Amino acid sequence: MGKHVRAVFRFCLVAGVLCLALAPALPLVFSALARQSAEPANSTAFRHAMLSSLRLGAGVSVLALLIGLPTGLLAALYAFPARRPLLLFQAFPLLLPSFLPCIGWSNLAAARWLAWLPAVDGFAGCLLVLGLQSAPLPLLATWAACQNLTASQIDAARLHGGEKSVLKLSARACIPVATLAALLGGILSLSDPGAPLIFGVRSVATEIRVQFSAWHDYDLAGRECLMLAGLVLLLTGPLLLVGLRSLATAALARQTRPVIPYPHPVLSRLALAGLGILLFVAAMLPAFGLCLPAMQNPMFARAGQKVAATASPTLIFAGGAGVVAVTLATLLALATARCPHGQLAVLAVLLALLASPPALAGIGVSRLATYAPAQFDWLTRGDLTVALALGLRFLPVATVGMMRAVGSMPVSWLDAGRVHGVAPAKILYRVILPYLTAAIVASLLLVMVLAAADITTTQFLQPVGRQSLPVAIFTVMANSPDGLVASLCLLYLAWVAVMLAAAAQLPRLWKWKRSPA
Amino acid sequence: MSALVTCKGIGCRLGGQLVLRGTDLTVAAAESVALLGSSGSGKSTLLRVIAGLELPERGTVTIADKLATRSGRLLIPPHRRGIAMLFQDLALWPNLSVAGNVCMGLSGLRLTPAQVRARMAQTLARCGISDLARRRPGTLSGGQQQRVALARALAMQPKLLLLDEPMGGLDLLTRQAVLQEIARLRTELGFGMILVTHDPAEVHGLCNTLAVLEERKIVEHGPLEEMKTGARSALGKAFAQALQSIG
Repeated sequence: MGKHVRAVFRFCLVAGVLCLALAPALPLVFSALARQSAEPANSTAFRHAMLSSLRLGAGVSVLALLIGLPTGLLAALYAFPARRPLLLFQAFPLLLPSFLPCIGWSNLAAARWLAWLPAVDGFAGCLLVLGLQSAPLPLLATWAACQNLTASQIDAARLHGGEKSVLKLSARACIPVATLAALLGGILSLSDPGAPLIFGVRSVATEIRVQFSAWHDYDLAGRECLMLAGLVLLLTGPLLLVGLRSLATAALARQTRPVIPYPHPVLSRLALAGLGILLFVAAMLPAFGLCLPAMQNPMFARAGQKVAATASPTLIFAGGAGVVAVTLATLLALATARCPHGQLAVLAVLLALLASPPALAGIGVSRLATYAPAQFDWLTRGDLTVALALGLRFLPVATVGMMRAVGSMPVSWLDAGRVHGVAPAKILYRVILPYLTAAIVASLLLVMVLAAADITTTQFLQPVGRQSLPVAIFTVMANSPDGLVASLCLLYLAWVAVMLAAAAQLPRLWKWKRSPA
Repeated sequence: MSALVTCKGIGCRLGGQLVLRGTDLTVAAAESVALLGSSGSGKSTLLRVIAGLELPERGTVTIADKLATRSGRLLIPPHRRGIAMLFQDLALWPNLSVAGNVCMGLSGLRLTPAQVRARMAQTLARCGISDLARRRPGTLSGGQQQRVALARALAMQPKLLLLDEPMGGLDLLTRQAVLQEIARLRTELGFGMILVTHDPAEVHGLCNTLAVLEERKIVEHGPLEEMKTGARSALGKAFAQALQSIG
């Protein structure tokens, strides 16, 4: 195959995958733009909800940045005990549906012997829970950005100006990335209905759900989702344009000698304390809150029945989403492997996709299902529909992971294959795919956990009688005994912890990957 | 002596930057050329153009009297050129064993499985690494990895071996051992060689001619003994002095 033919093939592949990723939203976008609904999208209630959501999103971004940036810097630069598991479990809050920590905090506030804790409720409660939940995003982004500084750059800074100089240099390199990651956290909180519903905050995500449930007006929901997506893109677009290159540099691996954590007597302890406190406040405290009703009135037998009933759909939705996302992400990563501009363009489109409200795709596909002939029910109304929609929703997460892995693969392996006449397919399955296995499995687990935690897309698309576990918890939490809800939540927490622990074992299983060759 | 490789008027751009401009180089059969040049002068790119891994905008590459590359067109694919390459980072496939690396390196030759096994065993024995056949590259020392890369390259019985600064990370003793190994194998098998290096000791031990790449083209090329006294370029003169001090 000639160079140009290969380039055209790659372009078509990337364009095809991106079109597929945008496809679920298109039916609603077209119908919303083409038709007029009886209800105006910019009603007073919706405008209030939009303003409240924007305030919440901005607050979440600021809080996440203030917590995530310094903690991420210290965690990346300094050595301390249990560094690896502490860093890994920072991702724990990110992988939970936001209503779980909310229930935990509410339970803590309700416990009499914990009356000294400040009440977590309303807008402030929402801000605290979502801010703590989003803090790992800038934290992990800062950590990743620091990995792109070389060990010798840090050594030079240390020699010339001590730790102050090291922190200054690293902060300068990490601030754009951390800011964008915090902004992403804020944007994602805009489309999260869990926390606002529990703390009684009128947000745009809850408003869209409530209005759609009441009117069942696809065009109105479409226009509301479009207004939200437009506003998000308008506010973040310029920042994205400026900072995307830094984000891509941080997110995508380079072959450098990475920073070696330095054992500093004070800053190492500070790093340990920062990560420990964040883990305690963002994950352990709400988890303890979730345990309280289960300790007083354990209902694990009933919860077990519920889990058994929802296990199959949960695993099928999550596993299917994982397979879809990782397959498409691997194709995107390999197709853009030697093209930085292509990688930037793909990241920009996918970030815009991630920033759009999930209801847009959820309602869009259900709209498509109302028009599609019955022969297509397997595609528009089945388990596959949910898996496909969730897989496309979390495609950006898997793509970043796969681009990092592909970027860390030496180009000379492929060149050696060409010199020796090894067929590209053979190189793919004997060298590239085995090398990428760890990243593939890690991305699969990550997307599975994120997809399982999603309630918006799943609720709109799940076939009758096929509820996932988080949707079941979300549905029963208002009118079921606290003990049952708490037991269900604890079982869900256990599943997330098991998946994270499995992800932590991956580097040990693929030791050869770190071969010096 | 007939020419094994002839590069004529090679012009090549990488990322919009002109790397080679009208570069000519002729390598005779069994000649061993040391290719010198300052960093970024295009030495590695010239090797990649000869191997068929990079497509030049202008110029031709002829291998054993057959036109292999002509201005932006690859007429003979890399694995049909009879050229092997030792990469700077060795480019060993980390998930395959030593034997797997050598066997996969023979994929392009259309040998039967029995022939592949025989060729692999013969080459491993020749390079003195038969006992490492089942090990993975990550578990080997730098010198052993070097030998594996060499075995993979030589298993395809190349007419020309390209070496792109392959001994950068080795200690002095290991480097000397590998140099002797390559020199022995070259005498035994009679392949030609182009070595990109900055080390006079490597040139002294392995090469019989010297070519200097400056300003994106070859400015001088001649027998090592002549170049020791008659080098014209600044880099050639400095290198000749270093060679004379070695002896």
